[in-house]
Formats: sequence, structure tokens, C-alpha cells
Amino acid sequence: MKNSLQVLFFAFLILIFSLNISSCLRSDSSTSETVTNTSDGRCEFAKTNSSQNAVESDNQSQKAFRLLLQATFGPQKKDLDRVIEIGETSWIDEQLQYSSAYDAAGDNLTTNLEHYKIIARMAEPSTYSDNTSSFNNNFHGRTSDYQTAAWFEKALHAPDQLRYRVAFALSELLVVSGAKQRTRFRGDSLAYYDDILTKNAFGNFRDLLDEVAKSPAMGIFLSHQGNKKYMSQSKTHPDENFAREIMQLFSLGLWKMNVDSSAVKTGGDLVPAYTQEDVEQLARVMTGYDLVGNSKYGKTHRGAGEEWATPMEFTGSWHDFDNKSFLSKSINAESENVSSPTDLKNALDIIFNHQNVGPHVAKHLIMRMVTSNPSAGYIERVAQVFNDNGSGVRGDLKAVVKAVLTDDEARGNEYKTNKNFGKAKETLLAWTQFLRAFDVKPIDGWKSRDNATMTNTYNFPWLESTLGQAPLRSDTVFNFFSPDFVPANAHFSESCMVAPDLQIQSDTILIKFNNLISNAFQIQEKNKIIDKGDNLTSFGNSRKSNQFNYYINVDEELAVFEQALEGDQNGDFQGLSDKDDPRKSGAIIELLKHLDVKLTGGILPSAYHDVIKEHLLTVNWNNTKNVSEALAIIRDAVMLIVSSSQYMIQK
Amino acid sequence: MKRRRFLKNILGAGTMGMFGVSTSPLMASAPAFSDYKALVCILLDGGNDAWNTFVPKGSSGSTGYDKYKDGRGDLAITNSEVTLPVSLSNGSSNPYYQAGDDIKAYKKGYYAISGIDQVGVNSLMPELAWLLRDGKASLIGNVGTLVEPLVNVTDYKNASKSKPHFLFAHNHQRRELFTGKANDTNLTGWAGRLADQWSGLHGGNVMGLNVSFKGQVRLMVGSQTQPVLFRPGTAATYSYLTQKDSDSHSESRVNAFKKLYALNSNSDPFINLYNTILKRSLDLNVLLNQYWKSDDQKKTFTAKGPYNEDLFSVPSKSNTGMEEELGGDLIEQLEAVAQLIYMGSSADKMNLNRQIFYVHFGGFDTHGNQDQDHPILLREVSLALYKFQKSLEELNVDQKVATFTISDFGRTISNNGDGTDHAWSTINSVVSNASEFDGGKFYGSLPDFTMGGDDDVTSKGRFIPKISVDQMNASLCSWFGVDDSIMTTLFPNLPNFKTDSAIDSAYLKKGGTKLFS
Repeated sequence: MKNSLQVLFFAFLILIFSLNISSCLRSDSSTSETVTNTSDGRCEFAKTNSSQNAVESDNQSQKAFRLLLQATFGPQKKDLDRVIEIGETSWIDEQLQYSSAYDAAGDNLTTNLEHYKIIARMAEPSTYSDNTSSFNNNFHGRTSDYQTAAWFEKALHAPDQLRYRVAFALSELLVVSGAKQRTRFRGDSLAYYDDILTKNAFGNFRDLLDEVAKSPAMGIFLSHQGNKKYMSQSKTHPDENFAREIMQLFSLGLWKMNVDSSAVKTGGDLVPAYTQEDVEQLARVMTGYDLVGNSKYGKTHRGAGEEWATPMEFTGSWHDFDNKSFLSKSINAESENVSSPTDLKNALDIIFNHQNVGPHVAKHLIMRMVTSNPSAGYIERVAQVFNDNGSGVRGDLKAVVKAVLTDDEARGNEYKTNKNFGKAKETLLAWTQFLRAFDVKPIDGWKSRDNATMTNTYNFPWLESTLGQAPLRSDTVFNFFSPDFVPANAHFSESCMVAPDLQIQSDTILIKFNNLISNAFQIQEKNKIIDKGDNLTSFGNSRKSNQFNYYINVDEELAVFEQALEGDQNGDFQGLSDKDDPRKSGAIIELLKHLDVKLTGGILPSAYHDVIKEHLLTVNWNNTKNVSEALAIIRDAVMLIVSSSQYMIQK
Repeated sequence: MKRRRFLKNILGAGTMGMFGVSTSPLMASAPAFSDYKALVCILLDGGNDAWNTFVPKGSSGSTGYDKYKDGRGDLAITNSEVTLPVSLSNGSSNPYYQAGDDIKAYKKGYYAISGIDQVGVNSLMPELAWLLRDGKASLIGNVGTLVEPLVNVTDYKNASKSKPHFLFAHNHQRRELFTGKANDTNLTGWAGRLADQWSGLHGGNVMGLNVSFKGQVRLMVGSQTQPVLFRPGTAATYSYLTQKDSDSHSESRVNAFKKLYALNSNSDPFINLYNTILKRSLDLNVLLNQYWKSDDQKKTFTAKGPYNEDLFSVPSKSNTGMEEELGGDLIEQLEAVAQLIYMGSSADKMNLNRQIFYVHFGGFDTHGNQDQDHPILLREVSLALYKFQKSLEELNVDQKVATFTISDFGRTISNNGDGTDHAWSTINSVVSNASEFDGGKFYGSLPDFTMGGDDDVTSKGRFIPKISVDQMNASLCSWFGVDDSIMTTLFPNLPNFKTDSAIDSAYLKKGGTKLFS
């Protein structure tokens, strides 16, 4: 009840606001710039993107598809049907209410860590011979593959897609990484960290900060694991790494912001959100935390006895209990005898209640899910929900996510009138969308590093070298790309527009992505495997632990194509026997219509259909078998669509 | 912004009027170069600890060893000169070897270089010491991001003095190295602006001025230009898209691919941008297949590394006598740069005139485990610089190339228990065998290492640099062929460092000699 009232309230605000704007603007706002340059060269988002141009609305299916691009790892038919059946807002609510592995113990839903352990047991049966085996006695670089596999299982198949999609977006805000890091050898720490993100994706941002601060993965990554108070003997002072980044990157950003993310200015100058002194004070708070089971404070050997998947423990003798002054507030001294000091809680409260956090988190989630250059008004509306969910609660991420997705800029026709709206897809999400579109499944039978036979488990080792990104594999705490990346393009630089997702997407990565898609068809598509005289079982058995292990199928496309070609689905494709058969042209048209709906939601311009059709129709495929030719036609059609800007850009 | 667009329109109209052809809007064009030169920029990502790389060994009270040791405590390098050998042998014969213990090797001592009194080179870096000894490298001391000179901490606290934005923050300090303007993190990169200025360089070849080994780095993104991106090893090329096989027809498919990215989609900026990236990737693919893909196109180096290993092979633990294997990331990238320089500089290959390479070597943010992680990084930097220089000598372009290191910032002189934190002033290296290069020198100074002293902006030993990194870059650019008249386009704050009315008075000097004469 509260929620729907809130939505009504915002809808009302938007109405007032847009009416106001329309009376101010002289003409068509489609040419108005999304962002403006301030005198100091800093880009700021314009107050609104809204426009009053009358445009033709999308049909229900297109609208549903667009929502699923923003809120899932790729639209699937069953999700589309569900959105159309119950409506966009109800679908979002349904997703927010899904029961998860984090609600109650004893259900059959698995956390990332539980799934990680299942995979580790299967892959290394001699190491984990029974269920009581500790998961900290066999560290090696491939353990992070198990975390990747657990992540893909959820991303590709979880019914509560929104939770995992938000968790992924959070993993790009509160960054830890298994790339070139000690955590790579303890995949359990990464799976556990992913659980923290996934659980709190629909929880409260304050709890998220707390669990992140105490997580071994973050402690190792930003080096506050084993951090010590000032030691007078050795004259060492506390490590400042985490203290700086939790403010700069995770919560506050650099400058003091208004609720719409515009900069607060004093006498024309920007105001830093924190000072070096604040970093040093918070570094003192972050002392005394180390891994459970660590043999020597501050050291780690990554192996037996050390718990990397449980919160770090506190040891008072290394902690600075003196009073601290942090972000203009005082944190009182405490007795050195307390087993759990309150300064961390106080410090996180101070951070959490800073005015920057709402706009910082709002902007991040909007940019990851909906559009690269949101209006300041959009950021403000979402930030206000962060500040107060309508029931007086701050940091309620469920409410924030709902505000992001139900905003008029996300759901309305904004993107049709404002050419600057939208974003490039992240390569990882372009990949998951492709896999989900073609009914991906793990291939059974592949061999682990210990030569154990794997079932029901994906394998995507070193994916980051192909896509430029992979879950929890950023090179640094600064994520895969920078939120203020301006590409070398006159329109973007002059309009002060950003395209963060494209910072990692050019030249080599585009080529590798294209090759990845072609390999999916040439090597890992079910019908192609069979067409080559193999079968799924023997194909699966031949696969190794250093390969991508999954398979897709184009059953649907074959059926659509043959039905249009010759009115049956018996698999003989006899309409392809004569290359000049007039029925072929019509069948290609139907196939492209089908793929258009499946891959872009039916927005592919007719010129694309024409170009692809011309190619498919004029090529002499030189196939000895009709089915081989059908598969080649489908492959080329999909490849050309998926590698086009129409697929890679999300409006 | 508006003003620039206006200027561009004027210039665009002008050229059209004069020559009757439409040219892309450009502000300037490349000088008519007839020779080849390259700059190679190596980012030591994370903030290299210069004080343990180049050990302050003097006896002066404020800049000498004792003050350094006072701050560093257990993390200090021993005040002991290690004899620089004429060549290296494997394992325990290495000069830095200390019972196979990397931490002990790291702290063993330093090489003294004749003519350089201020610092010694960490004993894990014998090859860099050779380069310095032989006049093929110089060090730039007390360098960092600056908007204008800051004499001391009083200056720093003076509100009327401009300071770099967000000191001590990795991404913004790196950004300011790249923008060439320490009080602007939003500007394009200086190498990108140079490419904008030199539009038309190489006749529109997709291989323009800038090549990045680490993505779309701000350094190389201009308002109209962007770097070509590479990774070491065999370059990625389109496999299926452009290749024929039994059931495909590549020509038709590539044509369809081209037609799709050429479709104008209602001037949607994202779609148009992505279309240009698709086009570039295909253009690059053609280039790579022509010059890079096949091994017979590549140079086979006959020179050897210091352990008599193949020039660009990564020495093993048995060579280095260390506990940890080298990562090899920097060596592999510089090998690829050497190959690209071979292709670029050869008249019978790409025959280019000017190239800037950006190479990235990570891991220097040594907050924790510094004495375990830093040794292996220093060892690789030294080997990589040496190997690269050897390759340039074999290619006979060592006089045409200048290689330099930059880093986010220096690190605190104080120690956090097992590492050091973000600071400011640092020491950079420049390697070249150009005849104009003043090698074997220490340019600049060292800070007063007193914690809480005149140069410390906090109490932890974060020192104010006295040389702007822009001054160093401008010196390199001047040698590279950048005209003085556009130097402030690249480095807008450079005039603040002039000592007389001429812009070149801001370039690095030692005594009366410039870093590049």
C-alpha cells in the first residue's frame, strides 16, 4: 500500500515537472543536450530529459523486452510472457518478493558459497572426500573458476533474475577482484562476497557496508586484513587503503553532492567530500580485523586453518581505541577491554548518513541498468527513495531498485524522443543475453583439473581476457571502466556525455566477442555437434577444464525456418535442395522476424532485415546437406544481428 | 566547448572554401616528418615506492639516508653499496642474492652510480644501473602532479595557490598525469590532444599516433582521436567472420557486416558511436592480418638477455635466484612494442613517422606485503627496460626512441606495518640513446624526508614535489617534434614553471643543460 502510494506520488511529481518543462522549452527537446558543461569544465547532468513530443508507444512486447534488458541477464520467452501477463510494475514487485536462499535455512535454494562447495567437491573428490572437509586446505588458482561457475548458474537460470542483476551492478560499485589477486586462490572468499552482494541487493545499504567491511575478500583486496594501530616501536601507522576507497568509490565520491548529484559549491568552488585527515582517522577505525584461524596476525598463507568465507574477527590488541574525529563528527574512545568496539559501527553510520550516498548509489544503479546519461531529476527521484523509502527507512535497496526501474525515464517514451538516452551493453551482459536467448545449458561430462567428470556445471575460465570483464574480475578497485569515460567522439565530448561501458569495448574485444559468438555456433551448438557426426555425450566427455563448457541450441530457429520454408518441421529442409527455390526468400524473411523479436525485442530497422536477407539469399553455401545449410543460414543471421550496434546498444 | 566548436566550424569552412573539398574539422595538421621517433610511456600502476627503488643514500640531514631510515623503519633498504657486476650469472651468483630470500634481497642495498650522489639503485635492478652508468638513462627526482610551484608546506596551505585535484587518490592522480593538467580531471589526454593536433598523420592509416596496451586510456583519448588497442602475443583477428570455410562465404558476410555498420540510424549517438567502433575493428583486422598475425612478419632478435636467455623470454627463478617467478607482463608488452616499432619504423613495412606507446604494469599499490610484492616488480622493471633497449639497438632505432616511467604518485616515507600508503613526490626514469639525451644524470632533487617537516603535507611523509610531471613530459614532447607553439595546448599549466618568457624555460634542466638538447 505504501509502495503504490509512493509510486503515485512520484508519478504526480513527474507530471508536474514535465508540464513545467514543456512550457519553458521553446521547441522540440530532442536536440537538447543531456548534460551541460559547467565553468570549471566539469560535466553535470541536466535537470531533465523529459520531452513532450508525441511519439508512437511501443507495443506491450517491446516494452516488456526493454524492461528485461534493464532488469535481467537477457530476456527469455517465459519472462516476456510473465511481464505481459501481469504488467511491468507487478513483475518488478514479484521479482522483489521472490524467496531466496538468504531468507531461511533448509530450503533447496543454494547460496553462491553452497554451490561453490558442491562444485569443488565434484571437481576435487579426493580433496573433499566427505561433507565435513574444510574448504581451506587446497588453495589454487582454479578455485576461482568454481565461483565463476556458481555465478553463471544464477545469472543464466535463476528465476529471480533481478536480484542477481542488482548484485552484479553492486559488484561494480563495491569492487573486489579475483584477477591477479590472492583471492583468486581462495574462490570461497569470492563466492562468499558474491553472497553478501546478492543477499543485500534487496536489503539495506547499511548492512551491505558492514558485511563488506568485514569480508575477507575485501580485507585482502584493500589490505585492511591484519591492519594494526600506530605501533610506537616500529613507528608504523594504519593502512589507509580501504579507508580511502570506501569513501571515494563505495559511498561518497569525491565532491559533496546535492541530492540530484550536482556539485555543492561554496563561492564557486567544489567541496571535497572528505579529506586526507578523514582517511587517516578511518584507517585507525579499521584496525584489529583479521581472518578467523590466522596463525599470525596480519599474515596469510592462503591455506589450511584460515577462514576466508566468514567475517573477519576482531583482536583488541591491534586496535586503536582512542577517540577519533571523522567527517566532522566525533567517535569516542573506548576501553581496550571491549571485545567488539563500536567505532566501526559509528564510522559506518556516519558514512551511511552522508548526503552523498543516496545520489552516489542512485546514479550508479541507473547507469548500470538503464542509461549512461540520466537526467539530474531521475537521479534525484531515486536518491530521495534511498534517503527515505516512504516509511522513514534510509538505504532500502528494494525501494531504490524499484524507483530505478519504475521511473518514467526507464519506463516511458523518453528514449524515443531523446537520442542521447540509453547505454551500450556490458560485454558480459551481451554474452549472457545471447546464451539465455539460445537456451544455454552446462555440457555434462567435461573433466576437472583432477580429471573428475563434471555434471550440471558451467566452466568459463579466464573469461575476462575474452570479454574484458567477468564477475568479480576487475583489474583494480576502479571497476572495469570508469563512470566518467568520454569516448573520442565529437558528439559525446561536445555534449559532455559518457559511455562507460564502451571504455573496454573496442577493437580487440569486439573481435574477440565476435569470435566467441561464432565459436558458440561452430563448436557448441547442439544441432551443429550432431550435424558433424558427434553427439552431446561424447562431445561433453572430450571437454577439459581450460575450455568454456556449455552448449546452446537453435531448435526453435530450425523449426521456424523449416515451417516457413515448406510447412513442416520434419528436419529434411528439402526446400533448400534447389538453391533457386522461391520459397527460400520467404523463409529467410520469417527467420529474421523471429530473430529480431528474440534478440532485440522487434526493433531492428527494416534496412537491417534487407541487408542480412540479401547476404543469406545470395551466398552459395556449398553444403552437401540441407540441414547444414539451414544451420549456416541461422548462424550468419544471428552473428550479424548480435555483432551489430542495434543489439549492443540498449535504448 | 562552444568556442572550440565555433573555431572548428570556421576552420572547416575555410578549408572547404580554399580547396573546394570537405575535410574533417581539424585545428592543425601534422608537421611533414621525414624520420621516425617513438615515445614509450610505462605506467607503474598503483604508485611505485620510489624511495625503495632509488634509495636516498646521502649523508645530508634532511634528504639523506638517516631521515629515510627514520621513516621507513623495518621496511628500509640497508645502507650498503652493492658492487655492480659487469654481467649476471644464474641463481646464487646474482649480486642481490641473499640465501634465496626475496625480502632480504630487496633490502640488501644499492648500486652507486658515478655522477649520481643522491640515490643508489636497489640491488634488484642491476640492468637499470647499467643503463644509468652507460648514460642511457636518467632519473627525475622529486617529480609529481603540480599546477604551480609550491615551495613548502606553507605554500601548500596557502589558499591562493592552486593545487592538484584529489591528491593521494589513484584514479584522479593518474588522470592528471594523463590530462596534462593537474587541476582538471575531465580534460582529454595530452597524447590524445597531440593526435588531434597532428590530424592527418600517417595519411589516415588506422595506426595513428597512439597505441595503448591498456584499453582506452585517458592519456590517448582526444576529442577526435583514440588509440589503437593491443595486447601482447598473437593479436586477435576475426576468425569466422572473415574466413572462408566449407560452408561459408566470407566476402558476402563481411560486406553485410560493413553495410550494417554504415546504416545511419536517425543520428542516434550511441548507435553511431558503436558503428564507428565496429568499422575500426574491421580496419584494424585488415592491418593486423597484413603486418602482425604471421610470425614471418616479425623480427627475430638475436641479442640476448642478461642471463643469455632469448631476448624477450622471461627469466625463471633459476636465473634470478628469487623465490617468486616474474609475472612477465611488462616484458611481454615491451616485446610487442618492439615488434610494432619494427613494423612502424621500417620503410618497407608501415613506414610511420611518429608513435606513442602506452604500456601498463600493475601491482605497485603496496599497502600490504610490500617486502614480498615489490621485489619481484622491481626485478621485472629492470629486466624489461634493459631488454627493450637491447631490442631497439638491434633494430638500430635506439636513437629514435625515448622510454619513460610514470606512476600514480610516490608513497609515504612512513611505514604502515607491512607497506606504505599513498603520497605525492616520486622519482621517474627516462631511458634513451638519442644523441640529444643527457643520460646518466639525476635531474631535480630529493624532498626533505622529515615527517611533519617543510615538505610534508601531513605527518606521515607525503612530500610536495618540486618538478611538475608536465615539465618532464614537455621535455620528451619537444624532442619528439612537438612545436613550442602548441606545448601549452598539451600542458596548460606549463607556463607556471617558466623561468623566463620562453616556454622552453619550463623544460627540464640540470645546470644549463636540458634533458633533451
